Order: sequence, then C-alpha cells, then structure tokens
Amino acid sequence: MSFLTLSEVGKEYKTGSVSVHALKDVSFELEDGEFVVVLGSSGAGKTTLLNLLGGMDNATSGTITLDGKNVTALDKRGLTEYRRGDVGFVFQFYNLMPNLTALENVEIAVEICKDHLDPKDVLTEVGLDERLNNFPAQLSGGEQQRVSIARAIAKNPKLLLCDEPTGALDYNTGKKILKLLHDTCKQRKRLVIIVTHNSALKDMADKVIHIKNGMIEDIQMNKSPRPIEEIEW
Amino acid sequence: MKTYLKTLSRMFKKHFTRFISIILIVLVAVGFISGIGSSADKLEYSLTDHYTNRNVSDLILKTESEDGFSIEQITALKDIYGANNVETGMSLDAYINIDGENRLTRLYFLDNLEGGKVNVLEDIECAEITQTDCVLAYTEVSDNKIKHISTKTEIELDFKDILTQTAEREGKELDKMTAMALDALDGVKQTTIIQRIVSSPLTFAKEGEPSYHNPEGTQIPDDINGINSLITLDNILYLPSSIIPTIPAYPPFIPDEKKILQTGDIYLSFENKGKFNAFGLGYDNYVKEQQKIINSVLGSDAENVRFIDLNHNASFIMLIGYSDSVREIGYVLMVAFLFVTALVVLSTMTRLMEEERGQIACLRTLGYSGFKIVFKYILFAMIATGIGGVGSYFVGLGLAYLICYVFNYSFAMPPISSQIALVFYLIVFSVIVVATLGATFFAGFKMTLETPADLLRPKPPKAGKKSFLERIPLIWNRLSFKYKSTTRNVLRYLHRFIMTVVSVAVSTALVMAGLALLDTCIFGGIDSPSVMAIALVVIVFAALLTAVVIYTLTNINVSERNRELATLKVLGYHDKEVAGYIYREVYIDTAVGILFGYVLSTGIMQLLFNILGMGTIGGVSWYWWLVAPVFVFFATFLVTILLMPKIVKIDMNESLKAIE
Repeated sequence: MSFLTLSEVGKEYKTGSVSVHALKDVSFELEDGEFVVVLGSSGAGKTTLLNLLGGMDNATSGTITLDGKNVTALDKRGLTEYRRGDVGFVFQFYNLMPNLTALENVEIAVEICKDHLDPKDVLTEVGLDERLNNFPAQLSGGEQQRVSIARAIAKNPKLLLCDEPTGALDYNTGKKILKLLHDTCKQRKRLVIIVTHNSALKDMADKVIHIKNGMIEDIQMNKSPRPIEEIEW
Repeated sequence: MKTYLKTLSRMFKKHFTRFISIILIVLVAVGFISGIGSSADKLEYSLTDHYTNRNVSDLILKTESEDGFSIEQITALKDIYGANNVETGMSLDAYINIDGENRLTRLYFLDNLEGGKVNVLEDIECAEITQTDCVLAYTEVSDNKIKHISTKTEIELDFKDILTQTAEREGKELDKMTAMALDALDGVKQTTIIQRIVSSPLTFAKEGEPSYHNPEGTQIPDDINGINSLITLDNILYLPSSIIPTIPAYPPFIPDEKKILQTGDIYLSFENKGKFNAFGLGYDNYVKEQQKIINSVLGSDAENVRFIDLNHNASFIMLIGYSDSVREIGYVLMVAFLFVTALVVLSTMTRLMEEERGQIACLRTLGYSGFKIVFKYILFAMIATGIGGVGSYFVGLGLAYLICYVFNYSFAMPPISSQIALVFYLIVFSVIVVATLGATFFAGFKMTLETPADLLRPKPPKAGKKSFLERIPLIWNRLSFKYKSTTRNVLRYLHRFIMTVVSVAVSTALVMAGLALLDTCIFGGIDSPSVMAIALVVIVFAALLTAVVIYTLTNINVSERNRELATLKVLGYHDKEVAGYIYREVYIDTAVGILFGYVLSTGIMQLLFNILGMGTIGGVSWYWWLVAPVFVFFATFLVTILLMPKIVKIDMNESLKAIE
C-alpha cells in the first residue's frame, strides 16, 4: 500500500433537493518524499480535495489512507488530532496570528504536537533567524510565507499541504518559496502537495494531478523534474 | 432604489444576532429605567386618585377652645367649601381597655359617622348587630401596628377616665366641678359594640399611625429613624358623637347643660380636587391661602385653632417619600444604564460597518452619497431600537405594576392607578434614540471620511505589539504561552478592552449597589420590603444588562477574529482550546471590569444611601463584595456557553479565503 492512497473519493454537497458533486471517483497513490502538484482551474474541485486531504472536511464516499491511517473513518475529534499531528498547512494568505511574533507563531502550532521540531531551528532553516521577534505586520509577504512554512514544517507532519503558496507573492519571491518547499520535500523526505492553477509548476513536480470538473483528468509522472530556477512563467 | 433596499433586507438576515443584541439591550435598559420611573409616577397617580375618590380632608382644624367650634363658624365654612366638603367631630387619643389590654386608642366622635362625605370610610367587614341598646362603633382595619378587633366586640368607654387622661397629659387635674358632675352622671360609662371594620383614607400606611401624644405633635420626621421612633396607635375607633354624655345644667356652677366634649375638629376638603396632584406644584401655597381665608372666618378664635394638613399625615408623607426615593434611584441608575447602552450600540454598529467595508466601498465607487450609505445602518439601528423600545414599554409597565404591588407590604395601597405613566418612558426612549442615532452617525461618518480607494483596500488585521508586561521579565517569563498571547490580545484591541471594562464596571457597580440596598434593608433594622423589592429588581436588571453587554462584545470579538480562530482549527486546535483563546480574554476583561466596578459602586451606593437617608458603605456586610463578582462571572459564564456553538460552527475554509 502506498503512503497516501485515495480510492474512489467523492464529495457531494446537497442544498435542498439539488446535489452537486464537487469531487467524484478520485483515486491516486502518492509516496513519501514526493513533490506533487495538483493542477486545475478555479472551480475544478482543488479546494475540496485540499479540505479532504487536510482533514478539514469529511468525504461522502471512498477512502483516504495516510501512512496506514484511515482518515475517512475519523470522527470530528479524530480529524482534529489528525490535523494536529499529521498535516502541515501552508495558506495562500499565510494566516499568521497578528499578535504573535514569528517565533511565537511557530510555537503556537507545535505547542499542541507531541513529536515536533525546535521552532528556532526551523525558522533559522527558512532564513528567518534575524526576524524571530518580529510581528507579522513587520514582515514582508515572502517572510510571512516563510513563517507559515516554518510553522507547517515544525510540526514534523507526514504531509505538507500548500494552497496556492505563491498566490499572494511576486514572481521572484514566489520562486524562492517554491524552492524552499522543494528543498524541504527532498531533504526531509516529506510528501509535499501543492495545489495551484499555475500550470508552469508542473515541470518541477514528481507527479502532476490534473483535476477538471471534480474528476481526475490525468496523472502525469515526471521522470526528470526541472529545478524551479529554470522554470519561467 | 429597489436593489438598494435589497441590500438592506439582506443586512438584517446577515447580522441577525447583532440586531437581537441591540433589541435586547434597549429592552433591558429602557424597560428597567422606565419601569422604575413610571412606578414612581403610578404611585403618585394612585395617591391622587385615592385622595379624590375618598374626598380626603386637605385640612383638619383642631381647636383648643373649651367651647369648640361654633355653629356659625361651621356654617360659614360650609358656605365657602360646600356642605359636602365639611364634616365635624372630635378626636383624641386615650388608653382604653380593649380585649383585656390597655391600648392607646384614637377615638373619633363624628357628627356624621354613617353618611360622612369627607374621608369616606370603606367597609372591610360588617356584622349584623341585633342588640338595640348599644351604640354602634367602627374600628380601623388591623395592619402591622394596628391591632385586630373582631366585630361584635364590646368596648366600655369611661368618659371620666378619658377626660382625666387628657387633663393629666396637659399637666392639669380634672377640675373638681366637672369631676363631681361626672361622678353623679349616669351615662359616664358607655358600652359600644363594634359593627364594622373599616379603612380610613387617612391611615393606609401599615407601619403605624402616629399618636397625638408625640412630643412634636403631628409633625412627621423626615428621616426613617425618626418615623420609627414615633408613638403609634394600637387602635382607632370611629364613634357617633351622640355617645358623648351631657352634663345637666347646675346653676350657678354649670349655667347650661353641655356635652362633656365639644366639636373640636373640622374635617375640610377643598372643592378643587385638581390642586393636590400628589403634593404637586403650588398645592402647599394653596393650602396656606385657604388657611388665611379660614382664619378670617374664625375671627378671634383663630389663635386657638391648629391646622393639620396632609404634610402631617404619616401615610401620605411616607408613600410620597418612597415614591420620590424610587424616582431618584431611577435617575441615578438611568445615567449608568444609558451610558452602557450607548457604548454597546456604538461598538455593534462600528463593527457592523467594518464588516461591510467592501460593500460600502463598492457603493461609494458607484457614486452613492455617504449619507445614503450611512442611512442604511441608521435604519438598521433605528428599527432595532424601535422594536426594543416598544417591547421595553411593556417591560416597564410590568415592572411598574410589580413595584406598586410590592408597596402593599408597607401600605394598604390605594388601588393602583391605570393611568399611563408615559413621561419617564418617553424621556428615556428618546434619549436612547438620540444616543443610537449619534453612535451610528459617528461610526458611519468616520468611515465615509476615508476615500473610496482606501475603503477598497481591506483593512489589515490589527498589528500585534509588545505589551508593557513584556518589559517586566519577572512577570512575563512566568506567564504560560497562552496567557502571553491573551495579554497581547487584550492590549491589541485596546478600545474594545476599555469598552468592555467600562460596561462591566458599570454593570458590576449596579449589581453591587442593588446588593448594598438589600443588605441595608435586611440588617439595617429597617422594615421596608418595598425598598428590598427595588433592590432585587436592580440586581436582576443589572445582571441582565451585564449578560447582554458581555454577549454583544464577545460576539463582536468572535466575528472580528474569525480568521484567526479558523486558522487555529486548521492547526489542529480542539473547539474548547479555540474557545479558550477568546474566552480567556473575556474573563480577564471581566475581572478588570469588576475591579473598576468596585470603585464605581461606592459612588453609586453613596448616592442611593443619600437618597434613602439611611445606610453607609461601611455598614454593608463584607460578603456582598464577594457575591457581586459571582453574579457577573456567572453572567459571563452563561454567555460563553451561549456563544460556544458560534465558535464550533466557524468554517475552516475561512482561513483559505482572501481577506475581505
């Protein structure tokens, strides 16, 4: 069995008598240490998939298994524990606590994890050793996203989920952030999934999952991914 | 315009809890104040109705002259005031043996006992008496001080004893001639039988009717301790004046036959009933004018005549005193309630507009005028205030009836007037309307001052900064991480912190003031359940106000921080931990508010004690100071329970969305 397995996962929203399939029969398998890009235009079902992978919502059909744990069988409390220990989340808009410093923003995440890394070390690793005691408002967008990544990494999660991590950043900063995520993936041997609508990113991924209308359109394997520095868009 | 109105109706749906918040706070604040205020009005109306319906005597003329009032004088007064407004008789206080006890009893000998038109007696109980050889008498209905006499009880009046007591009170002896005459008199001892138990319109206070024997005569002291130390009557009997024995002529010592007690009292009520109006403006002067007129009628006898007006009537004075106290308490609390209400409405409307920032920006770029945009919010606030205001009328009405009803413990209350006491309600309500309008206008005006370009940009979440506590490592390093974050949050939203603290402080002060009143009633040796009831009402409404305030402010806090809370959830925080993030802050705000509330409460207490003319801050039992925070914390606890679903329902997807 693979590290992360989705089999026939579906998500149906019901409003009155009308039901909409946000996701239908989604199946794929991913391995530890892979750098994966989920690609799709808006409304394709990317966010829904992200919600299910991140334990933020329950699937209506199918099963998701991460490292042998059946995520779809978890109740509300179980899902919270799953988010707490197994998933690291990087948001498009960073979502840092405005009243906490960079260091404290990482601390607030690891405080509730058992098997976490040292917040200072991780921040140093993402290049913020000089900015530990700054508040988000005193940091640039790129720096804020680094804090957000450090927060996700420091939890020592099995899965790193990134929702349009460069969406709010300029071109060059975006590239640096992607490099950081890629390095994390390869150096720490972590499964990193990036959800984006930027098709240029597909060249740097080990695997590219194309979604359209809530279904898998194609899964593409890259034998030789290109480093982000060589990709332009 | 049609589409514009649509945004209005959607606003009501979207901000329903805010809408309810404003309705509730107006309901509580206006309901309470108008209830207290209009109960005072209602008490006065009831008193005025009672005065009119029972044709209460505005003046009792009491002559010291041995011959009493002459028929000419009485006729002259009847000519001026109308035959129906002048009654005559005689009254004195003496110890009489009733039911085997020596009781201080007021004896009214009325010339027109059965058909009296002034101070109309009301039957409580009436027995059929078959004995024909006895004089029928009435007794005043029993209350806390006046003792019960059953109907058909026989009472023997020894007129020699009565006259001796009267003479001794004046330091004299009964003169020998009269004593001899009385000894020889057959009917000096008269037996009467109680036929009716009645209530007089002059004695409805249950705390006792002062006797004529008090050193200050009929003066009513203006403090409660003074009133409590008055000599009060055990019984009041109403007798026909025909019972008074007559001494036959015995010239030359007694030239003509004469009654042993003369017509010493005239009970006089003014034709113009509108003048009284619960001791209203000009009544006292009117009474003085009438006294002058009466004096000129009495001629040279005037110097022997004392006037007992309603200012010397314990029941009237006590009821009006209580109603004045209630009204003044209302004034003091009104300021506090209105202040908090205005603060809460201002916070709510400011937040509401912050949330609709994008929409306001959009309308502005489309060329809608600032006024038209703000108008929508004013309408929102006005409708909520209007609904709350209409509802509060009924809350106030209920409260007023409750308070008037409670006065039954101290007074055999005249029937509660159904006259609508609108004045207080209208004043309070219009103040609230103006405050709401002002608060909304202020919040809206601030926002329309920003250029549309600024408005279009999302307002960044408030930046964090180091709190002053961080400069004191001794404290800061000992705080757990959770509390460090809470401390910063408290100081980050400083204006909301201040608002919460001020509101909680005022509410706590009100609760504390209510408890202090209660304490004074219970332990101050003052038997006034009506003040106690008002204390309870104050406590209940102050607690309600506290709950509504904390609910509103916490509600705002939660929606302001939706995104932060959603992020915490994504990070794997359990609902309880997420709630803790907000609630720790609420409890800290509440605790600080309570501390300030203590300070504020001493001020309010002092005012209340001054109004009531009793009690001291130092005299309040120490444990109430501990009870007040329990009330406030309990209200906070209830609110946190009530808001829990809102936190549970926070959508984690909020954290993925762009900042609105």
